[in-house]
Parts: sequence; structure tokens; C-alpha cells
Amino acid sequence: MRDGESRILAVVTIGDNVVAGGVPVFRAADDDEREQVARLLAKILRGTVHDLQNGAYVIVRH
Amino acid sequence: MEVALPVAMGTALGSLARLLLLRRDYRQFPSYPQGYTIHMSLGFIAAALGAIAPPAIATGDLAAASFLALAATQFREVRTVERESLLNMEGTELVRRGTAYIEGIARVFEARNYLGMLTALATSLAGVIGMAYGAAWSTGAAAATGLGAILLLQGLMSGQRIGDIALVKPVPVEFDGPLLTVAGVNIMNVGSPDARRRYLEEGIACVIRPKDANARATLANLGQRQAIAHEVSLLLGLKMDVDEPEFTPIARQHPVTGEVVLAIVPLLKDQAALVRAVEYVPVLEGTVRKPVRSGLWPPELAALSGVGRR
Repeated sequence: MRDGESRILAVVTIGDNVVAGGVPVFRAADDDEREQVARLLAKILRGTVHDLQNGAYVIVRH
Repeated sequence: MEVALPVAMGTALGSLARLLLLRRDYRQFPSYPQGYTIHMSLGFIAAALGAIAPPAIATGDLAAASFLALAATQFREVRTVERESLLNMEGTELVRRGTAYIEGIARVFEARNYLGMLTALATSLAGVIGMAYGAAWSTGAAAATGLGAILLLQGLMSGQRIGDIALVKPVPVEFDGPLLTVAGVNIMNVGSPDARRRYLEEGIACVIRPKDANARATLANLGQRQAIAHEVSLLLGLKMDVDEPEFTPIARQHPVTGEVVLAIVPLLKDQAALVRAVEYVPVLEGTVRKPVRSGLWPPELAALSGVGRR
């Protein structure tokens, strides 16, 4: 943990109950697309992919 | 009175003491050649100041002794300089040293200058006393005292290592859903199935079991744990780059047993090497806690025998 504060950079989800929030939300059609998008986003944003186990992945900068 | 001989002996042995404490190992710190030049120069100055004091006092020049106080102020600067330079480098480390480790290193560098100075002082003092019996006696007494001081300091200044306060054992890397789990402790949430596969295929892990409640309190310090993660990554290498932060090794403590676990995806995948690397990590002076000394702890709890062991 770099500065003690973690930040959600983006959400990638296959859930359809998506509500707009303070972070960008990316809708994926299926598991494969979700993983691919999450991996690419994590690389771009230098974040870590965390699985919330409700269909959503969050990309977090620690 | 002849003072050149004791001063020369004191300066030489004081500098030798500093040189012997400048060990360059796998850490490459202090670095060569610039780091060496800086520390040997300061060590020489410290030795010279220490060596001058006894003859100065013997010849009635008490003011010269106050130079020692001046030297102490100078060497406090050494600590500041070391701390600042390590903190400036911190952003470039894949796995950070952590402020506790940096503080420990800075403290050691300041202390080593005093040790050089003390060795020179003792050597020179013996030389001055020996002068009453002739130059040969003076040289002999100075050399014997100086070498004795060096041996004594070498012994006294070697601190504890993790292997002294804890047992280190290799354990398998597991996943509980997306949670990277080692010996029952959840370390972090690894979301990407690809990263999980890499952890399972290429990762190794260990559990660090404190020997008593004192060791447990020391291992609870975040700085001590960061130092472990840093040293282990340095020794075993790390299969990650800056855009894969999920492979940053993190040491987490079990809240009940006090066991610290660490998982790493290393370049050198060798469990025995991991155990030895962890055992070799220095116990940082600033993180040592001794709650048991207070007398509040019942013996079985102090020995950690009551807590749930697997």
C-alpha cells in the first residue's frame, strides 16, 4: 500500500443492475470479455484487479 | 611529549574499524565507489578526532576535547543524509524498503562513525599511557587495545535476525475464491484468473511463526514486515513489473496466532531459499517490542502456547 489510501479507478461488470456512480463502469457481455477488459484496464491504469464475486471486477490503485 | 605515534595509531585503527564495518553484500549498500568514499572519508575524520583527544587532554589542552562534541553534531548529519537519499530512491523500488528499514539503516551509519571514533580514542589513550614506558610499549598497547576494541564492537553490533525470533516454514499457496490465502490468512484479493494461475503455478509461500509474545509484537510492526518483503524480493527476484501490482509481495499477520505469512512469485523458485532469505532479514532495532517484560503476561500466553496452533 503506497500512501495508505486506495482508490477505485474503474468497474468492469457483467451484471445488468449497473447504476452510474463516481467511477467509470464498463459493461462486458460475458466472463471472457470482462477478464480481458479488466486486464487491459489494469495495465493502462497500473491498478490491481479485484473480484467482488457479484459479477463485478474493480480496478484499484493501492 | 611525543604525541604523533598514539595519534597515528588511533587514526589508523579507528579507520580500520570503520572499514571493517563497511561490508558490502548482496544489498550493494553502501554502494561502490561513491558510497565507500563518503563513508571512509567521514570514518577517517571521526578516527582522527577520537585519536587527538587523549594526547590533547594529557598535554593540558582541555579545549581540544570539546571537538568531540562538534564531531557528534557532524555525524548526526550522516543519519539525515542517509535517510534522505534512501527516501529519494524509495519511489524507484518495486518493493519498498519502508520508512522503518530506512530509519534503521540511517541509524546504523551514524552509530558506525561513533564506533570508529571510540576505537581511535581507546587506541590513542592506550598509546599515550604506554608512552611512559617507551615507543615500543606505546605502539604495542595501542595496537592491542585497538584490535580488542574492533573485535568487541564487531560482536556487540551484530543484531538479531528473523531466524532468531521466529520459525520459518514453507507452506503452499492457496486461493479462497479470489482471495490469496496462505496458512489460513487472507493476503489479498486477486481478481484476474490469469494472475491466480500464475500464483498457483509459480508462487511459493512461507509462514513465519513467532517464538514468543515479544517476537509476535515485533512482527506486528508494519515496517518490519515491509523490510521482510523487500529483502525477500531482493534475494529471490520478482517475476513482476510495475504494471502488475498484484504480484507485489505483502506480509500479513494472523490476528490470533501472530503468524506472519508471505507469498511471492519469485525468479528463484526454491522453498529452502525462501526460508533462508526470510531468516536472514534483520530485526529492525526500532520495531523491537518486549511486552512480556512488563510482567503482565502469564507465562503460557507469553510463550504463545495458549493460542490456537495448527
